[in-house]
Amino acid sequence: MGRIRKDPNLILLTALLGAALLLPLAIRSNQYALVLLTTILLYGVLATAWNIIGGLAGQLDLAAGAYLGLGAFTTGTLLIRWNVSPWLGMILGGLVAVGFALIVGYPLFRFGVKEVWYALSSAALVEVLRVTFLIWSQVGGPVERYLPYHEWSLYHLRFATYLPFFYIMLGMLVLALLVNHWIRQSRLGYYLMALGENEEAAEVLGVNTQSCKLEALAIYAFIVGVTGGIYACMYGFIHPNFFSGPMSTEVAILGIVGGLGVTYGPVMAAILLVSVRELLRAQLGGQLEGLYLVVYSVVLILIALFRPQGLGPLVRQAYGRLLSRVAKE
Amino acid sequence: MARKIWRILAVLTVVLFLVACGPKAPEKPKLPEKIVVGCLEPLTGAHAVFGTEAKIGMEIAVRHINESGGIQSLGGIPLELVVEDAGETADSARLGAESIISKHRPVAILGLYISRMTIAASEVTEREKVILVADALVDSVTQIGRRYLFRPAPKASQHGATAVEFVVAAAQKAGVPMQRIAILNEDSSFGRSNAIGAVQAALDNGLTIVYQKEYPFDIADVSAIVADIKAARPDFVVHCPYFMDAILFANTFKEAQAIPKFVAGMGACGYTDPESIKALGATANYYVNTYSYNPAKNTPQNRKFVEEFKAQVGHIPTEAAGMNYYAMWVLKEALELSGQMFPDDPLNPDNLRQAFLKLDLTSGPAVETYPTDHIAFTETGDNPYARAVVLQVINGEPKVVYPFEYAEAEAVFPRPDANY
Amino acid sequence: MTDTLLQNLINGALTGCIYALIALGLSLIFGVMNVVNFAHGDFVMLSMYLTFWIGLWAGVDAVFTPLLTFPALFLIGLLAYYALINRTLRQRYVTQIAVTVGLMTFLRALTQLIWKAQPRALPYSLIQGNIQIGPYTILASRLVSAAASVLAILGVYFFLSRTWAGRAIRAASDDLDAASLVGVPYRQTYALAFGLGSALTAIAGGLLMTFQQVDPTMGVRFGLLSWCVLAMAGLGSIPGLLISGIIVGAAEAVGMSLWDPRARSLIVYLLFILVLWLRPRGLFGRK
Repeated sequence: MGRIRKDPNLILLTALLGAALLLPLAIRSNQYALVLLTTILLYGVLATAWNIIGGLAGQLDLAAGAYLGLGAFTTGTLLIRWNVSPWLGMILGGLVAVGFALIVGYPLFRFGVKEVWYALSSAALVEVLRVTFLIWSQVGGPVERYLPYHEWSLYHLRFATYLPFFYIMLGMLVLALLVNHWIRQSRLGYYLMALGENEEAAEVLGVNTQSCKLEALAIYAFIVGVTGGIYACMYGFIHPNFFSGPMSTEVAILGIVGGLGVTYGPVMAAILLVSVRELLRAQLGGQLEGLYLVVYSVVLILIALFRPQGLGPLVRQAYGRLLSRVAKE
Repeated sequence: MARKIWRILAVLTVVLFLVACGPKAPEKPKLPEKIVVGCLEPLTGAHAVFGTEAKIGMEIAVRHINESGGIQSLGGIPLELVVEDAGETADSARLGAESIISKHRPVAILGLYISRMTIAASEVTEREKVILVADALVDSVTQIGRRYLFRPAPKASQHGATAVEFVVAAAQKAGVPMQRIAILNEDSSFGRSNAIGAVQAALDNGLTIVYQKEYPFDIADVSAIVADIKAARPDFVVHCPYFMDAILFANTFKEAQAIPKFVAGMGACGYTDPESIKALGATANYYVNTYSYNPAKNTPQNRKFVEEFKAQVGHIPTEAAGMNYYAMWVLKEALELSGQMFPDDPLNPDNLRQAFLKLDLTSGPAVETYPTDHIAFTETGDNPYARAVVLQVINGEPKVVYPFEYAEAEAVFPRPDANY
Repeated sequence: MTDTLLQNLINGALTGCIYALIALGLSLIFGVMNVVNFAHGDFVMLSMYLTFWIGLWAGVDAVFTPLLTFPALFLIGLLAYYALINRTLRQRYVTQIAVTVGLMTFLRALTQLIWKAQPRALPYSLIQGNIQIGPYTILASRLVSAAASVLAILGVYFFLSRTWAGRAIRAASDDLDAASLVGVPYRQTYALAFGLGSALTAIAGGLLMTFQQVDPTMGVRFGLLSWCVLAMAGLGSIPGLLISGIIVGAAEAVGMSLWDPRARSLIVYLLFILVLWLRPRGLFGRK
C-alpha cells in the first residue's frame, strides 16, 4: 500500500497502458480511429524524446524532423534496396540519427553555440537535410519511394491495417517514458537539469556540460530515429518532406506545453493537442486548413507567458488529489 | 488499494466495449437502390482548385447518367455521388479513403488528382477491393501493381511527348527549323514524368537537348534559370510548371527579353489556366499547354457538358472537370458491361474489374468527351490509346490547336514576340 | 560559363541588398533588447501577402504598397511587442523563444487560413524592363529593389545617428544601464525598435513581390536567412550587414545556377552553420 503510494506514476502508467492496450478492441476495425490514436502516440513518443534535450537539458531543439527523416530513410532504403527487415533497419536508422547528431552536435557544443543560436541551427539542419535528400537522387529525390506492399508481413513490417502500428507505437511510448524516467533518476539527469536551469552555474559546479548535452542529444536522436523507421513503414513510402520543419516545431510546442522536464507532460500535451488538431480537421473537413495551428500557437503563447511550467504538473496535481481521495476511502 | 485500481480498470474496459458495440450496419442487399460512387478529391489545401473542379465534373456526369436512365443493364439503377475531402497530403488522402469506404461502401471511387495521394489511398482501395478510377497523371500510379485501379486519362509522360510532338509538327508546318530544345520541370514526380516523356520524344525526333533543369515548385526567383536558358540558346523550351511559377517564368522571360522562339508548357497546370491568364494579362499570349481533356471537341455530349458547366461555374470546364466527366461515363460503361457479363453479381469488385478490362469503346458519351476516339484498358489500368491535346492562349483565350484534326484555332507559331 | 557566373553574381548581389534590409530589422530587435524574434521572417511573409492583397484588390503597384504596409507593420510590431515581447523580457530565454515560435506559427497559420497554401504572385509591376551592359542583363525590378533597399538602410543609419530616438536605441543597445541612468525610457525605446524592425520588413516585402512569389511557409526561409546575414555580419555594423546580405544573395544565386535550383536554401543554411561554428561573433561584429 505504502509502496504504491510512494510511486503514483507507476499506477498511472499501468492504468493508462491497460486502457491503451484495450482501446483498439473498443474501436474494432475502424481504421480511421486507429490512425488517429497511432498519430497521437507518434507525437507522444517524439515529444517525450524531445523532453530529454528540450526539457531536461533546456536546449530548444527544433530538429526532430531531421532525426525522424534519417531514421525513415535508413529503414526505407534498406528495405527497398536490400530487403533488410525494418526491425533491424529502424535500429540502424536510430544509430544513423545518433551519428549525425554527434557530428553536428560536437562542434556546436564545442564552439559554445547555445540558446537562440542552437535553436536556429537545429531548425536549419532540418532544411539542410530536406534539400540534401531532394538533390541526392540515388537515395531521395523529389519522387516518393514506395516500400513493398504486403497485406501482412511481420518481416517487412508492412500491414494492411494500422493495428500493429498502434501497438508498436505504444511500445515505443512506454520505452521513451521509461528512458525519460530513468534519466531523471540518474546522475546525468541531475546534471542536465542543473545546466538546463543555468549553464554557467552548472559549469562552475564542475558539470561537463558539453558531454552531458551530447549524451542527451544522442539519446533523443536515437529514439526519434527509431520512430522514423516505424513512421516510414506505417506510411508506406519515404520522401524528403519527412524532414519537416513544421513537424519539428510542433514537437517542441508539445514539449513546452506539456511542461519542460515533466516526464508525462509531453504525452498529455500530445493527447490534448493532437486530438484537437484531428478533431478540427474532421469537423471542418479541412475547410479551414491551418486552424489547428492557430490553436496550437495560441495555446503555446498562453502557456509560455502564464504557465511556463506547462500543463503536466496540473494533471499530476489533479491525479495526486484523486489518488489521495481514493486512498482515504 | 490495488483492488480498487483493478476495479477502475475493469469499469474502463466495460465502458470501452459499450462504446465499441454500436449499431451494426445492415446486410447489403444484392442489388441496391442506388449505386454509390465516391468522389475523393482534395477539396481543401493547396490542391483544392483542382479537386473542386473535379467534383463539379463528376456531379454533372452523374446527373447526365441518371437523366439518361441510370445503369440500364441493371434495370436502370441510378448513381449516387458521395463526397469526401482528401486534404492535401498522402496521410489525409489515406484517411479520406478509410473514411469514405467505412461510411458509404462505394462501388467505385473517382479521384485524388495528386499522384502521391492516389497511391496512398490506393493501398486502402486495394485492401477493400474498391475500384479506383484515377485522375492523377503521374506514370508511377499504374506501375505499382494495383489491380483495382484504372486511369482513362493520358499519363504525364504522354503529356510531355505531346508537347514535343506538337512543336515538331508545327515547326514542319510553318517551315521553321526547331532543333535545339531546353527542358524544364518542377521537381515533383508529376513534373519529372512529364520531362521524361519530353526527353524521350526529343530523342525520338532527333532533337538536341541543350539545357535541362529541375527546380522546386515554390521557387521564389527564376531569374538565374532564365539567364542560363538564354545563355544556352535553345530554339524552344518545353516546360512543366506547377502553377504560379508559370507566371514568374513568363514575366521573367519578358523582363529579361529572353523569350525563345517557342515555349510549350506540358502537364496542364501553369500557362493556360484561367487564373494564370488573368494574372499574366497580355503576357500569357502564345503560351501553350497540354491538356487531358478537349473542351472544343465538337460532339453533342461534349457541347452539352460544356454548356451546362459554363452555366453553372462561369467558365469552360478545366482539365480536372473534363477528366472526371468522362471518367464517370467510363465507369458507367463498365457497370453496364458488368451487368451483361455477370448478371448475378455485377457489383462484385472482381467482376467489375473484368468488365473494365473488357471495355473497348469507340463511340458513346465517354468517347464523345474524350481527347481521342478510343478507350480501352491494359492490365496495368492505362488506356494505350490515350493522347493529350494542346491549348494555346490566343488573344487571352485558351484554344485547342493540336492535334490539328481536333483543333478549334490555327496555332500561332513561332512566337511573334521572340527575342532571339 | 564566366558570363553565366557573373550574371548570377549580379542578380544575387542585387537581391542580397533586400536581405540586408530584412536583417537590419532583425538586428534592431536583437541588438537592442537581446530579444530573440523567431517570427521576423514571418513578418516578411506577412508583408508580402499584404502587398499581394493590396496589389490585387486596390490595383496598387507593388513598389508603392510600402506606403500602406510600412505603418501597418509598425503597428503590428508594436502590438506584438506590448502583447507578447514585453512580458518575456525577464523570463528564461526558452520562454522567449517559445513565445516568438508561437507567434511565427500563428502568423503562418493565419496567412494559410486567409490566402490558402498555394504560392501567390503579382502579375506585373511598373518597374519592368532591363538594362544591357555588354553580355549582362540587369533586370529593372532587381535594380530598383536593391537601390530602394540601400536607401532604406541609409535612412535607418541616419535615423540612428542623427535623431534623439535613434540615439536612444543605440544607447540602449550599447549599455542599457547607462542609458537608463541618463534618462532613456527603455520600454518605449524597445517598443520603437521592435516596431521599426518589423516595419522594415514591409519595404522588403513590397520590393520582393515585384519579382517573387510568396507562400505561407516562406517565413521560415526569410527568418533563417536574416539570422544568417546577422550572424555573419555580427551586431552593430550596418555596412557589415549590407556586405553580408550581398554575400548571401550572391552565394544563393551562384549555387542555384551552378549546382541545383533546390540548393538555394541549402547554401544559406550551410553558410549559417559554418559561421556559427567558426566565427560566432560574425565577420564585422563589434560586440
